[in-house]
Amino acid sequence: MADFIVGSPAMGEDFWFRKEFIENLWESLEKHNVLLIAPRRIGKTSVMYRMLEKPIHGWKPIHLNVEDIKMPSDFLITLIEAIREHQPAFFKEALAKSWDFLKGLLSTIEKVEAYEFKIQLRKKENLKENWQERANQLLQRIQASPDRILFIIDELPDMLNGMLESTATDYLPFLHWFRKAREASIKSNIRWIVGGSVNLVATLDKQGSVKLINDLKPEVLKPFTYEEVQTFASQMLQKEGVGYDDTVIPQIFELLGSPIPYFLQMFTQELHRTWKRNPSQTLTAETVNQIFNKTLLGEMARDKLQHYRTRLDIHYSLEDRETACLLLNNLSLSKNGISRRTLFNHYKKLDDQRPNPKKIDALNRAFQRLLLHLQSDFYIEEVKNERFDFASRLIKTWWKKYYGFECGGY
Amino acid sequence: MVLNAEGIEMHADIIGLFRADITPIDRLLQTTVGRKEMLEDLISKLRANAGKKGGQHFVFIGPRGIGKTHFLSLIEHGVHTDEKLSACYTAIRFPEENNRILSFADFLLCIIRNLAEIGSDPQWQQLNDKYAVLEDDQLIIDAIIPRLKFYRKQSGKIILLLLENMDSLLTQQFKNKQDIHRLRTFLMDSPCATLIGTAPVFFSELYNVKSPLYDFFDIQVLEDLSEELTIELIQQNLEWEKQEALLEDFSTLIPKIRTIHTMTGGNPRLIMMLYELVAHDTILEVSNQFQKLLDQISPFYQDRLKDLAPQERALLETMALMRSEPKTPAAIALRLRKSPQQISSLLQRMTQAGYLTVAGNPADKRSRFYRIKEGFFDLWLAMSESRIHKTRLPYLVEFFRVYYQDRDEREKKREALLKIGESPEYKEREKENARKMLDYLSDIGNNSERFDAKMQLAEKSIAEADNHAALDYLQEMEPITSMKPVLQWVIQECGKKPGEETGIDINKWLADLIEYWKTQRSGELEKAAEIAQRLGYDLSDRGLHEIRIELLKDALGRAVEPAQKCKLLFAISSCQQILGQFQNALSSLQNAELPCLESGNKNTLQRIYNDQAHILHILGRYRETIDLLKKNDDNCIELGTPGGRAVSLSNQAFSYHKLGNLSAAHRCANKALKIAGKAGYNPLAGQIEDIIHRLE
Repeated sequence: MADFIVGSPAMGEDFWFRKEFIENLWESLEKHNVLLIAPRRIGKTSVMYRMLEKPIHGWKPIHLNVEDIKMPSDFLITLIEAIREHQPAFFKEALAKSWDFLKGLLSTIEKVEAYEFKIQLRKKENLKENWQERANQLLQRIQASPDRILFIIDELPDMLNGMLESTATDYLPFLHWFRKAREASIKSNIRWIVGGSVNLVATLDKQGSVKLINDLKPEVLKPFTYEEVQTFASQMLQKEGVGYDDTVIPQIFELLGSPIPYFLQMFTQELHRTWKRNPSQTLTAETVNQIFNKTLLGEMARDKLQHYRTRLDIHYSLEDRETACLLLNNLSLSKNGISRRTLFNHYKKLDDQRPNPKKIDALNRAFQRLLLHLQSDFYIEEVKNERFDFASRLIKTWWKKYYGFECGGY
Repeated sequence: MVLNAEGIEMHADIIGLFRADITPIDRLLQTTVGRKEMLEDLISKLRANAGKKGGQHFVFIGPRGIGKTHFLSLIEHGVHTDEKLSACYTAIRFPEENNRILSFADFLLCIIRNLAEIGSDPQWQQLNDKYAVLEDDQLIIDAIIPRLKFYRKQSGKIILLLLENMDSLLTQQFKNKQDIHRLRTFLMDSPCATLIGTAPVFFSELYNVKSPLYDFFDIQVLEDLSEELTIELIQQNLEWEKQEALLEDFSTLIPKIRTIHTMTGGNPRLIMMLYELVAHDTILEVSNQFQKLLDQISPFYQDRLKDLAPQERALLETMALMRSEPKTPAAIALRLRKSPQQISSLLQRMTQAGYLTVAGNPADKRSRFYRIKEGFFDLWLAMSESRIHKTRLPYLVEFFRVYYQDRDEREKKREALLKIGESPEYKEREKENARKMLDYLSDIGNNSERFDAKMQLAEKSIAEADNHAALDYLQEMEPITSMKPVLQWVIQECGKKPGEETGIDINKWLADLIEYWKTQRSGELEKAAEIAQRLGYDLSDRGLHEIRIELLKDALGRAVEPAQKCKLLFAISSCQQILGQFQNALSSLQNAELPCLESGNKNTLQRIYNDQAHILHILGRYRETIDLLKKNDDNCIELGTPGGRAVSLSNQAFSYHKLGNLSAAHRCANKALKIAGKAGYNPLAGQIEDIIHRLE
């Protein structure tokens, strides 16, 4: 039976919707390697696990979370281990039996105590020196097999950041190797899905290496639709026997907008918990408002949502940060968004106050770029022709509460 | 005496007053309030997740004393006693203080050590023995994680990790950020473990966007108890302990419990600490534990304060010291010497930040009461700031003040405690405890009540040859008595080193002084006045006239009988004359006239008139002197005291002489001589003859 899953990936019966998206992913994979794009808490990892659990068309998926990896050699070891874990039969037949690198370890693998495998792998040779060679051998062996292998790499940006911090000399060689590996795999039976909570494009763009991933086909995972919100909330509340009236679901959507699944889970769960404290009550829009203010805008959520503000400090230049804040502050106070023109006027006004204001062409370009960044980072979206608003009503409401006062509106 | 459900006597430590993890589980189960739904919700989630591939991990946040350890104990018990859950989970409880865990590898080693302790499989111990001595973290991780995954596959059980103080572990103990990534990967990928953690605050790993664990957990907040739940908590504990006497009268206890709730803010641990006083009077244990607890939490709260701006710190500290004052914006502003507007905006900010809570003022809808939200933080601030009453915790004084609001109740309590002290039935510890309670109660009530209570304790101290304690009480009594000079002198004497004494037996003197107060309090005012006079003479003999005057004045303040008043006033006047305070002495004598007349004591009246005349003469007010002496003359005629008359007339002669009225002077002197001679007072007659010669 489905349950509220807050924070962890949703698997099995706890996984909702995304059918069409996943079908599209499988379709894309026929011809492309994929970059799975979405901000935090949208459900990328859940989608990845779904593909792991329910592969189609003969694909053998192998999932690995690489966030704690800092060296290419560790990446390779983790990759090999992941193959062994998720596709043991394939591993044994296609790799362990014939690949000299793994030959000596076959008996270890076959024993009940197969948990020594990774240790043995590390001990076997100094992969820090020759990881590329071994990695290429691995992929060649896989390509030589008749099976279709899908590598699902989660949290790659974290790994790249970690690599850059600890062994900077490995960073570019790895990226280059990975690019080549993907190019080779496109012509073969291997595919890659790459994703992470941090925006990979922005990360590499900052490091001047974005062209090393421009072979990946971006697939954007969007928040839930109204119908999906309605389905989820009503089914979950009904399953738990929660009494509610017909103002509740519309009010949930009204408050969350296109909701981030994490918040939808959290919100619905809180409604359920509130109801449980007094099962004789019927939830109404009023209850929804109270829970929303307490849980999603209150102390607990404040810190969570703060990251949307903090992210500007981390990933945007000082100038862009200042302008982004101004635009977002104004958008938070708007009822139905602001036109591109008005946003530009705000932008220009701020720029005019700077010591070296830009000329009109440069100003336009800078504005366009900022708007694109804000969209790709899911702060804003185009709601109508040339009209923009916050992508998430929750974030808009939160932003208005805590930062809207910084400007007097427009 | 406290009994558990089996009727076995229990010591406070075993009750686990301040170490909830050692409180018997049956007591925890029966007395838990306000957590039932949260616990049931969690247990049902554990049941639902047991057979699933994916895992859910939980964090419970709550300030110190909210019951996090208690809650984990309930979870642990719930898993152990539920057939399905115990088949699906192996619960591992990390120690509350897990300072040895400095990396993810250490974390895993702790898991397998626990598995070794609880299970029969020797592989865990072997694994620990092999890897615990290695330095290579990666090797340890590579060795242990696959085994844990295998354990899950083989046994079908998920390892349920119960971990306290997650904030310390993840922000301070895990030095390497990679370890946090490793933890996340471990919990997320093919989860063989479910983590249930607690923390006193929302720490950075939970809310920092860069943190791997951001939005990773289902986070719930353990809230303070409401007033109703506080009442229920106390009632449950009384029932568990079979405190029938208190339960019978429970409805009268409810208003007091409400006050306890306000004091504690609904913090369960603080409530239980005060419960111990309600149910067992275990003041020694409670105050010891308070001190220990405050020492323990001090570093934590010192850090919290560092995060605040100076004016925010000042606000909190000021509020913490306003123990019994209503904390309205106006009152706080006054204390901080700021405008109400400045304070209002600061209060709002601190409320939004979660440091304060606010409630309406029932007496004035326009104003509100603010309170420091976290009970222990409030307590710690007050204790840190308080420079006085080091032996008496202000928080407990406050408790006694609110709990024993009725004076009669306090007196009854004191009586009962005194009986314990005197009865051979009670053990030394119990007597010491009773004494401590009396000590706290001596700080409650108006000045008069507190003075009496402290005096009683000073007396007991003297009887037990504990002069230091007696002196302490006297020092506390000094600000609340009108007899400040007396007490100050006594305190000074008591504090003198050998060789510095004035030769007075201060212990005896002290005992006599206490006897005086006691006699006074008992209503034997005449006897009290006599003691005061006796003590006064003692003081006079040592030139301590001022102090004598204070003592006599104190006795005078309570004297009822005119004769007594007259005597006291006369004695006061004598001292004042010695000190040269003639005007005061004159007033005292004038005040003595009426009670003297009322008591019909004409002899004393004669002396009063004479002394007044003497003073007036010294002051050069001769006309008044003569008038008074004439009055005295009439009095002497009434009394039939020719000697008195003679003295009076001769004094008149002196005054007439000063006025330059020599004929009147002679007339009076000759008349005086005649009366003295006729009465046969030859020495007096001789003196008067000398006066006449001088006048000539």
